Amino acid sequence: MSVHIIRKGLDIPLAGEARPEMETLSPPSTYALRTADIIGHKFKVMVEEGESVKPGQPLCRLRQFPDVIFRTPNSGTIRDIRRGDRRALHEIVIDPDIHNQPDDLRIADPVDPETAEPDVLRTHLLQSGLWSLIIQRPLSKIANPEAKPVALFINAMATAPLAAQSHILLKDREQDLAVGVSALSKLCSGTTYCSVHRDSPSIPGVDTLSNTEIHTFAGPHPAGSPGIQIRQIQPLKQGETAWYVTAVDAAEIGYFLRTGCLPHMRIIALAGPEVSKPAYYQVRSGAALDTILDSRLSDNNEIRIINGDVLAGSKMNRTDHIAPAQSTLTVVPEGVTRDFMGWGMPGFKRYSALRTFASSLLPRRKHALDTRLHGGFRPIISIGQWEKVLPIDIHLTYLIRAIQAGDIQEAIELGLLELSEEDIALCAFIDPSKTDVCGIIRNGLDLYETEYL
Amino acid sequence: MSSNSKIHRFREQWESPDGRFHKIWPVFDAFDTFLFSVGARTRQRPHVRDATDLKRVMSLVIVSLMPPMLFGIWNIGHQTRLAHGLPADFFGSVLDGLLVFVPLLIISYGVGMFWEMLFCVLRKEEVSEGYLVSGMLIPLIVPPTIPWWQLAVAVSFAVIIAKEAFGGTGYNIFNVALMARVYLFFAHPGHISGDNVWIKMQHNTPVTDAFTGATPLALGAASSEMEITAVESVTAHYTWMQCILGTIPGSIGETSKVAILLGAVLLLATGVASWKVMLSALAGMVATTGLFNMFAAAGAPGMIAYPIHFHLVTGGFLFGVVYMATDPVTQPETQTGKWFYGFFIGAVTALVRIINPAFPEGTMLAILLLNVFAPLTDYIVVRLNARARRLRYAQ
Repeated sequence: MSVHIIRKGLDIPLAGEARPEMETLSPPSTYALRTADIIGHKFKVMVEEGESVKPGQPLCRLRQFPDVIFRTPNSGTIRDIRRGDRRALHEIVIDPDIHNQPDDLRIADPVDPETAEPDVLRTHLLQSGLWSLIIQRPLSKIANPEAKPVALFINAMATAPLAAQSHILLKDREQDLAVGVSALSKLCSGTTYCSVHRDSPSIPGVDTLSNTEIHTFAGPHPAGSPGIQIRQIQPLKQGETAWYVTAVDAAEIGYFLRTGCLPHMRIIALAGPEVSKPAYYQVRSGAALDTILDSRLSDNNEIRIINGDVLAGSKMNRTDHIAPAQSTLTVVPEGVTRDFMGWGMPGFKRYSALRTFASSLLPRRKHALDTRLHGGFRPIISIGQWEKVLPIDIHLTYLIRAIQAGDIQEAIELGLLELSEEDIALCAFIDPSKTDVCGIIRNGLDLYETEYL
Repeated sequence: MSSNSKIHRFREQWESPDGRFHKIWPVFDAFDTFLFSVGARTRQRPHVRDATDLKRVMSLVIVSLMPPMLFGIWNIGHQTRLAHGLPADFFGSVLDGLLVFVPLLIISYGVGMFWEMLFCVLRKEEVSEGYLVSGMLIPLIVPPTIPWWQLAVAVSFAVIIAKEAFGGTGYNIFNVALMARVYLFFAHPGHISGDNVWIKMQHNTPVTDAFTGATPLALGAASSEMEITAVESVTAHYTWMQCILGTIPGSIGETSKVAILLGAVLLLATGVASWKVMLSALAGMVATTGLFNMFAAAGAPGMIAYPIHFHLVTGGFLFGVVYMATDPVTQPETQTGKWFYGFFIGAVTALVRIINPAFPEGTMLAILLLNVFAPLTDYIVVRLNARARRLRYAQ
């Protein structure tokens, strides 16, 4: 077991951490399969509005990899197929006829990964509709079923602000985790790694994983980010791909293999400054957000609901539903006020990681950060902000310039393929020039995909 | 009609594309965001942002410039009084200083902001905050006697040729304030060098017998002809303590080392300036002068034996290192580059001071020279990084 100490980084003191208490919520009024947050894929919808769907019926598939399907979280009638910009599929909403029990969602026989052939396992996983939980690196997108990954990274730690903690999500799931990890590692030619945080409570079942190297990370965010971990553990070489799965998603896969049933519950950490009861809630997969948000928010109407953490998560509407791979639901206030001469005030209540406001004299205070940009867009001016929070040897300014110039060969040499939005989100957070670092990195990855793959 | 909708309609005239004043909205935006912090929200990840923006960063630099500025204002009047043997009256000195400094500040900001806004309107960009600092620096690094028209031309040169021609704040290669000074230095040398420009003299008032208008470094440089050591030449007129406190003639903001160090403490505490650049510049200065001192015979005339504790308190080295070498735009981006850059600023300053008899002071030239090399050092560091990665990928 090796320990990686990450020194550069930042734990944003965001108020509203989820208390380690669990409550199971009653079934929601509607369910949905949410695909809005899946980056870089188009979908082929296989059902129509008004159609009734059986438990576990496939609803859509990826256009790029038609074997990757998505199944309904509940049986009922298709109420709505919601689309966003350029008709991108957002959600397929279902009116439930009954609230399915685990046995209703049995779509296959149990499989023992120890004895099954890899090809059988692969087909089985593709058929389950859970393949979308496997993310490939580089690109940080749903894994290509044809690719041969050289390593598997199981992430059992979360360092992003207010992110759901793995030891709570994985309570009593030792068996699921063991089966899931052993099945995934069979599909993968190289080593299986599992990362845990040194300062978190130990996670049940991690120590007993077979054929798995445990790597301990210490230090602030982005220590728990996949790009940083891969770079520390086994940097990828040219043309190699690796798989990345969070431990809780590996456990979901294990649950399916063990029982033949689709997972029908999901644990969500509800957190953020606008949440009156931040805690962990067990809800039905694909449940409407109302179930979880009702009576648990402050009175503020101007809020932003985020699937995931404030750094790398994506925006949700109040009428949306829990996404398949979601573990954290953050609610922060929208920024509405404009401070008078804010640039000249001491700023005891304005949080900055750069010691430029008086708030840095009170380092223990938690802040209710809102969605204000706090500044206008400017050319990149480096006062050492990125060196503070990027723990790997990437010269981000030059990488960004290469991407903006469309020079992908140069961008690759400067480390584009080692990154994704979540690894770099802190750099976007801290930048005084308000550069859209996440968007630029994704543009670079998209360009790489169209030009080189 | 409520006042809110009046404000809204006023705003519309600038901001909406068919508003009456839309063509010059960058001007409106500059004042608007000066008064009230930016109200824009994040659209996507990351949903929250750090409260620091460029306005805050630049404001902190301005605040850190306050000690040298305030001291400089007093010192202008104080030097005049000393030269004429008049009683040293604090309020009188400050008043005299204000009468000299405020017009220079107004010219610097007025001319500079005019060009800045004009270019932003033409480019349809928000007005950047970069000139706030340059506009404050420029009057601090010129002598109090600089003619107003020369300052205006120098500011125009710096903003147009050194900055906007390259694309505006963030894209310039040379430090803007130093470009204004270097323009004066080569185009109007009679008004920015020699012994007669550093003190604002009053007409028809006699000077005292002991009066010299020369700066300590000029005295040091002149020592080789007088067959005395540079320190003797300096201390004949000024004590070391005077030099560090700043009650000496010189460019307006650079005389008081104590005031500059106060500013440096603020810059370093807030993390706005790079401590690596400051430290390595000091190291470069110490190493180079130390080397020359070692080879100088004891009591040798000229700057070769000028010791480090005098180098640091005379001339504009400290001011340049604290406020201009640390300019985030013109210093190298890479951390390795910063060490190299700072060290050679110190070394080249020392070289100019010691070896070049024509220029007593070398800070300005050293910083501009290293500005030229900043992209090259970055290039080398980045290429090495790319090479290491290529090797790792290929294994």
